[in-house]
Amino acid sequence: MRLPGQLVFGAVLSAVFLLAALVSLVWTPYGVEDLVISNKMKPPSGAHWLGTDHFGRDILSMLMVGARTSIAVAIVAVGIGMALGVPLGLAAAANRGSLLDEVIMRGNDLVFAFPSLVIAILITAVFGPSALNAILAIGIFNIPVFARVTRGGALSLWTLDYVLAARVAGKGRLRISVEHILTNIANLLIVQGTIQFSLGILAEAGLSYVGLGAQPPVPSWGRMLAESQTLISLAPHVAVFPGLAIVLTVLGLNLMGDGLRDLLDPRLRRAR
Amino acid sequence: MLSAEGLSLDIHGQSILRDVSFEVAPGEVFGLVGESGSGKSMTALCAMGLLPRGAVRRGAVRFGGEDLLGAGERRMCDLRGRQMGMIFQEPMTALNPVRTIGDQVAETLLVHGAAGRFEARDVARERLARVGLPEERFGLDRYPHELSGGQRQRVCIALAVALRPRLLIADEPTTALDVTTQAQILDLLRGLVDEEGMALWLITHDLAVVADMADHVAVMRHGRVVEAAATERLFRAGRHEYTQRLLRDSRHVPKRVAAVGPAPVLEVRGAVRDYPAKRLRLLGPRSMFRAVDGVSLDIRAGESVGLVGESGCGKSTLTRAILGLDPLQGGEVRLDGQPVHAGYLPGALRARMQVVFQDPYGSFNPRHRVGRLVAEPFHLVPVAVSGRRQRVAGALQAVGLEPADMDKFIHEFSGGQRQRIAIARAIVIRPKLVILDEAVSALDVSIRAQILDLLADMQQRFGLSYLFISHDLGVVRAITDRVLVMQAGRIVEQGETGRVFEAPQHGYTRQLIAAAPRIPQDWVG
Repeated sequence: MRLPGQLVFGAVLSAVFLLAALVSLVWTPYGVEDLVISNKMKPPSGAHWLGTDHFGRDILSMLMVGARTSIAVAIVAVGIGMALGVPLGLAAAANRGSLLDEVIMRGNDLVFAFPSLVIAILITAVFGPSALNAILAIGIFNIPVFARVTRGGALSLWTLDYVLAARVAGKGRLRISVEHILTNIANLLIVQGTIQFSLGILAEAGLSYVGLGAQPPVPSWGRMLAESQTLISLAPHVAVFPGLAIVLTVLGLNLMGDGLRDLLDPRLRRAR
Repeated sequence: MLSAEGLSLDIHGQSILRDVSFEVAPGEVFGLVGESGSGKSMTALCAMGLLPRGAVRRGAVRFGGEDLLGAGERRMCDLRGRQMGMIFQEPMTALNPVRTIGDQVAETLLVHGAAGRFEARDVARERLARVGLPEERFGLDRYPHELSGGQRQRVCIALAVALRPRLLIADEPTTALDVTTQAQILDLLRGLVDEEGMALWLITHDLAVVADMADHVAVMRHGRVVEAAATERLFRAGRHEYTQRLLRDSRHVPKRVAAVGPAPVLEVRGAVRDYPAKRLRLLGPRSMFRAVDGVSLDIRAGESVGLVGESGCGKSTLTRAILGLDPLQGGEVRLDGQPVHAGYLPGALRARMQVVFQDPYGSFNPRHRVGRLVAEPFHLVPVAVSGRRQRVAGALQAVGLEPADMDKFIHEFSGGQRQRIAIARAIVIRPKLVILDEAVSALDVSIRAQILDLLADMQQRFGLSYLFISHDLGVVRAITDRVLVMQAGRIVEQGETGRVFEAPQHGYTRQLIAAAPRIPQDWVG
């Protein structure tokens, strides 16, 4: 079986950043807290592959540790969204039109009605800026996204004959939801998951950018961007590399999501 | 007027049509018949120049002397709509849902610059009236969703004939419609041919429709025309082996030995099923729609009972109630003397009835292997996991498949094979009653004949009772002992199948039987 090019490309991109994050746990070229002011804003060189920032820190090292922050925040946030959103969506679809359905979906509308970044800022402002609070804030806004996608996909499946056949076979709603519905919307959820994952990385960068995410000295891509924006004409590489890191990670995740969907669907697999 | 000579078509190197030749004369009806995948629709799309990318055409298609294969896209756009109209099978998706029917018909005229804005509306009004949608009852400002399937197909026809084309191509125009609606649409098409001198190229899988309509017929198979002749001659003396087989299969009656026991398996008494209808006003009271209205029926052991009626008559609603999937608002359903309630139904009772659906594509979870799909009803009966595989294998063999098919996915099977798998799933736990909900309607005639034989065989081997729900009177006649005719939620007539078909008592039954197209008896001997 031939793998689609976009899946390979996306997976490689994502893997590079994941690997960088993992390696940073045990080794980075330089310590991210080593300030060498005399060495500040050096362009890329043999010693510092991606140059140094305005405190003389090694940008490559900071990006590696920053990847760890971003990925950790996004994974947990998507996890929260899926763990709560998918069961809610399945329950709403299985009991379509009932009070439960209404309560779940109107609750979703309520969360949706607030601009997510503003609420995330509110949460972190009230509970104090930290990576943990950023995770919670982003995670909460993932719940209704997954609930809606799940319910939408599930509703169309509930009308199909094989669900009817399962009901004739005496299976209950819970069992049908898990056995027939969930397996058939898995591709929807994977695609949505990768999109939310990349959005999570963006949201974390955004919160850090305004100073409400991971706190110094823990490096974060968003804060690296924020700190370098006044230096962009003096040392463009200080801003360009964190920006590129964000763009490439998001691109890689999206390509991987699309590729996975094609791969996981037996019907699409045959069509290729 | 339209002729094809040695037309061949390859798409991405795959041969679709080979050496197709035929001719459509002005003012005649040309029927093109064949089973699915035979290349009927592709031939029409080929002539219209509406092929997918990667298509390579060879040979010649001439329209009024002009070579269509060499014509540029601009010329084809001019011909389409103005000289050649086309209608499709599915009137539900052939119209733009957000534009009024008047606008859509008028658009054809505007696109071709045949009329100004106001004039186009007048023509649209006249054309819609011609196809049986007079403005007093069906205003030009109606939207497609406000119309029934048959009415929508009329709009499609009005669209196609707005510019009085010389040729109308109708691709399975009545396949998605009820039998009485089908008769009306065929009448309308016939009228257009007679009055406007238009030629009609009718593409269908239904031999009876062709027998009814066409002046001459071509039979297609595997991308070739196997035989072409004047209609009557083809039916009376079709030489080709495939033509004869199609004719035989379309009238196939499976051999059945009546072995009806005395005890009723299913009893339905005064079943009533109401649906909440749309609110007429915001916060106004919900009115109720009665889909099933006091239906009573019995099915005895080993008996086949047919239930016929048009779409929306309540057949499917009744089925769902019998299966205990939806609650009844009145009356009761008893299976083997025990009441069937929606909601909780003991597994042992539910295991006595199973169902086979119409759509061989939507009936299976595409992510499970066949073994797991067929094993689904074991949920209801205590069977050791070790014994299941063997019983699934047995069921697959009983329907003519291999035990090795258990490890395949459903997309690896054809429509007919899938329907066999659906039957295997229904019989694997040896139910007493199998409900066949349009179970052969989506199949080609040759496959349908095989499945009917299989059903007759299963009935005999396992002593099954069938409730056979269909809009296809021919099939019901072939396989049932008794038949019930349903109209608007009520059973209007019931009796022995032969008696009901030969001497229908109720007006609606007579109407249904009269509307069904038939191959004249003396044509086929």
